[in-house]
Amino acid sequence: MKDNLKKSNFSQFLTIAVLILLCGALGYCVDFILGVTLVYTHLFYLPIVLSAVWYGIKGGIFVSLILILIYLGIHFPEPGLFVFLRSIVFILMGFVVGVVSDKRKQAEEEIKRLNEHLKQRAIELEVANKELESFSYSVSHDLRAPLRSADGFSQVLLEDYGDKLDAQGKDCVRRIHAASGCMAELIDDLLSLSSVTLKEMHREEVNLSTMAQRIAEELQTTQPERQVEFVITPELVANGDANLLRIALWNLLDNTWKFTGKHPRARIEFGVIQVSPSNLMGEGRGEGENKPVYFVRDDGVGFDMTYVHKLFIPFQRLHTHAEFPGTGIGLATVQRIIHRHGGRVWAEGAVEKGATFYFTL
Amino acid sequence: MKKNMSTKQILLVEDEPNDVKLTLRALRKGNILNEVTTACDGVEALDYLFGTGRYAGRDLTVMPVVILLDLKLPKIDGLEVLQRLRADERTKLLPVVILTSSKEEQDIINGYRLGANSYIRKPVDFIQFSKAVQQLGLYWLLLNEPPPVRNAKVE
Repeated sequence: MKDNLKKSNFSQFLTIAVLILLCGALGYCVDFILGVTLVYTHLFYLPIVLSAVWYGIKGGIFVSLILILIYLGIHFPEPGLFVFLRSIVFILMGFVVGVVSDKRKQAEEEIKRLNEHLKQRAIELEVANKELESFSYSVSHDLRAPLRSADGFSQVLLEDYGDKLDAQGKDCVRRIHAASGCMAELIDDLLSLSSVTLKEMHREEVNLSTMAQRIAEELQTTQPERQVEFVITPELVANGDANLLRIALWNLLDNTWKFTGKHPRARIEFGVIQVSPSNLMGEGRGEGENKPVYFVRDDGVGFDMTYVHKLFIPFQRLHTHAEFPGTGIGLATVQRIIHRHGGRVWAEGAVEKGATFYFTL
Repeated sequence: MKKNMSTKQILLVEDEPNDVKLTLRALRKGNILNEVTTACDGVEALDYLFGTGRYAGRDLTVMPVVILLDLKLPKIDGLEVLQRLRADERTKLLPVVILTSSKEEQDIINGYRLGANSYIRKPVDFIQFSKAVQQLGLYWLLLNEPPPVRNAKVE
């Protein structure tokens, strides 16, 4: 279609240009014969001028011709061949301008088409997200009921027929119970992971320090006998979704609490450092001015840097259930939240030397 | 006429037969021996409450002192049942406890907005589930004062 457009524009242009030149030439001759200057020249190509204006308004390429004709009209040139030659030059200029404006029109149409396409895709994405949300919801809801039955009736078995079960039998029931509990936790984690991805974000000023402080206090009440020192830098304020950031901070601090659980004393820090992005390692590396990089650090069991790339994968764990409880969704959730804020998250650690999790927003 | 605890009835609206069985067991184990009527979908629940359909001609002066309502029900879902019984003079005041697997904020909001008295998320763990059901039973049957039932004319 573009070629046709070019051809039709070009032939239109050519037709009108030739007509203007011919009429101009004719008028010029009449003027010459009658001994007047440009009276009949103008008269002869006036109707062509008008149709060129019409084409110009419709098609764009001939707007250029109006410019030429205005020039020729207002400027009273010297009679003779010079006028003729100058008209040709200006017609050529007009041709160039015309092609340019034609291309511009094409580009505009292309942009319009792309925008329509984008709008369509955005709608499709919105629909897909909504479907996913209702899918996660109904799946998680519908999965819990049979799970409850499995757990429930295994308990009934134990209660009503426990005397007929030997130690092995009772062990089976225990395992069924544990497995259904595990699956329930997984379902809940999946639900919260998907809601973190799908829920709308409302950005506002969030005081991360008070948030961390509250989480720290909550954690302490779960095991009051534990000796843990929390060092939280005050007045750390950031821009983001309060609910999502609370979930992210909760996951990070809960991890520090959990993985320092085997140590008699622990130190958990939450603070910020100002770093030039080019100095950062791994995922943190980037361009730009100094950014605040928040960190959560503990001196607990740490991890082997060999496995650092596995940390943020959902359900990937570096420890067995026997060593530490958990489903392996915490860090994946944190990563999703930080990414939704346009930030980056990464970790450093060493076995038995603790771990530090950095993130930007 | 003063009713003592044993004449108080419960209406359990639940479509999952396993959940019904486990709930009844939990009540029994908690020594709550009151009569429990089970409705397996929204239509049956409303039929019972309004004395229509298969419950036509039922004495409507006998109303449950608490309705345990699941949200995901076939035909008419829990929220619609709630809406309809809150819209009718005869059942407007009946205490309703939403007992469901869902923890979705929207469900909680809708439940309370439509007039539920309580919202409980059914635990998967059976021991916890039993405890919850027993606590529910004791609270609504023993501690709570049910609204008086007017002399309803069967329409």
